[in-house]
Amino acid sequence: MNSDAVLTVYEGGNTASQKENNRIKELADGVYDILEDIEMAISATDENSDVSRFNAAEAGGELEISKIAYEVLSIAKDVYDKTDGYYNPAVYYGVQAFGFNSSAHFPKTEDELPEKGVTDKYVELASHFSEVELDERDGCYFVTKPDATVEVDGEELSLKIDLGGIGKGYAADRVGEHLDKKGFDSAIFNFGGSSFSAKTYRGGNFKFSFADPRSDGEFEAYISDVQLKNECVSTSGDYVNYFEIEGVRYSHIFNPFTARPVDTGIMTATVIGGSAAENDGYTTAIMAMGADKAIEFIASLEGRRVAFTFISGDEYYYYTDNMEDGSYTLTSDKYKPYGGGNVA
Amino acid sequence: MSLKKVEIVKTEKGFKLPDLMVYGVILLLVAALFIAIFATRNKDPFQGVQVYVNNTAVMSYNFNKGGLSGLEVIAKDGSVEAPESISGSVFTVKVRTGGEAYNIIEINQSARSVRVIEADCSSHDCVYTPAIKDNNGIIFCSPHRLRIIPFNFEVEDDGGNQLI
Repeated sequence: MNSDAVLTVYEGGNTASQKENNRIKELADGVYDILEDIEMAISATDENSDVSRFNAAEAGGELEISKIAYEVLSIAKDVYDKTDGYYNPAVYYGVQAFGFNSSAHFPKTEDELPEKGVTDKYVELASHFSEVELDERDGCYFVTKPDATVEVDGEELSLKIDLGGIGKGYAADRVGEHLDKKGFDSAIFNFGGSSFSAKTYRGGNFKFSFADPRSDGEFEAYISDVQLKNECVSTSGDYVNYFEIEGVRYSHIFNPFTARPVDTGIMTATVIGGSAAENDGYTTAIMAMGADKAIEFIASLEGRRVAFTFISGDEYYYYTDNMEDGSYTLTSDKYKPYGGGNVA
Repeated sequence: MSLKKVEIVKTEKGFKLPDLMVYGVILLLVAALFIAIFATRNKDPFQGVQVYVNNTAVMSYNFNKGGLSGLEVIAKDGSVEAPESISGSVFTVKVRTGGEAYNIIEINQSARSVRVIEADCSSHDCVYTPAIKDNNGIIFCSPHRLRIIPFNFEVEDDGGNQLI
């Protein structure tokens, strides 16, 4: 998934017994196997992965996939439904057309950006994601690709997906379960700096400090802290992996209804609690929804704590929901509370 | 500007008490930063590295022994290809990580450094990672599951702070 995964365990070290260090080594082996299995299932770059085989399949075709790919696709479909399609892993062609792929050759002028006529076709194709069918038969797992194509520049395109958006969260969930199973209660798993499974920091809280998405080059400018333990965390932001043309920012977070980078004003979104895989999808969807629709959607989420930052004109805002007293601290006066939510 | 004027400027722009206080504070800040950076690093002498593939040690290199005698090939399956003799202070070891996959590790005795100079992995992150020169760096090749770790490597406790 082209990201670093870091597991930190607050045990062991040079002063630990050999037995303790062996226990940690076993844990690391187990985590490695989990990550490798997930990579094999949903990698967009490995041509033998389930996702690559799905992408290469003809429209309307059925193929057998691994249990992991089946589970991640099930979550993707569920989050797609819950977010009214604002999370959509089938926005694949738009993401590629804007250069957010392994080559990272971003457009340098507006003329190099994909034309609206083309992105409209990508949107049309992506809208068929709801027709992806999953089936479990005799202990085997199958997926059927929607029987839909569009023609772009004389080429017939069938639906393709990239599950990397929720794949990191899925990995965080599985690693979190593995930590529980192996009895490690002081640890944190960080996948790509965006998906976390946090246990405890030596029995207490972790402190997550969130960077200012418009720090104007100021080194290590953080605007808020959240205290938490034994929870999953996902965050999305337009301040990493983006390019600018004539002052307009094009980030790697896409709006499936335009097949273009989000331009709603939401700069970051963070969801805490529940499943990291689902949260990964929710944070992407919140950024695509825009502030007012996002606030409506957030109210429908159960058992989650949510924060997002938002820019309107020259004003910076933040919004939080369900953050109990003392768990969220704003550390910057640059940001003002937005809307009528449960602001800190 | 004439020499006389320069001398006047020098006289007028000499260090005054407020200037000295500002420079003093800057010096203190620089010193504090220097101490903060270096006091938190593991300053034990860098003795060498252990190389792992799939979490199994395959070789190590000990700078204190030096030369080829510093090299210990742990893997018995021929996956570590060491030179039979070396001249000069730099030599390479090829580590096969499964099938045809490989990483070439360069050991520089005079610089007391270790780095990966070539690999047929997909990302090449290992090749771009800076050489290990002390006990605080590691090199990790994710596609090949190869790690190079100093003997005395120890991760600092982050205090539970996660910077996002």
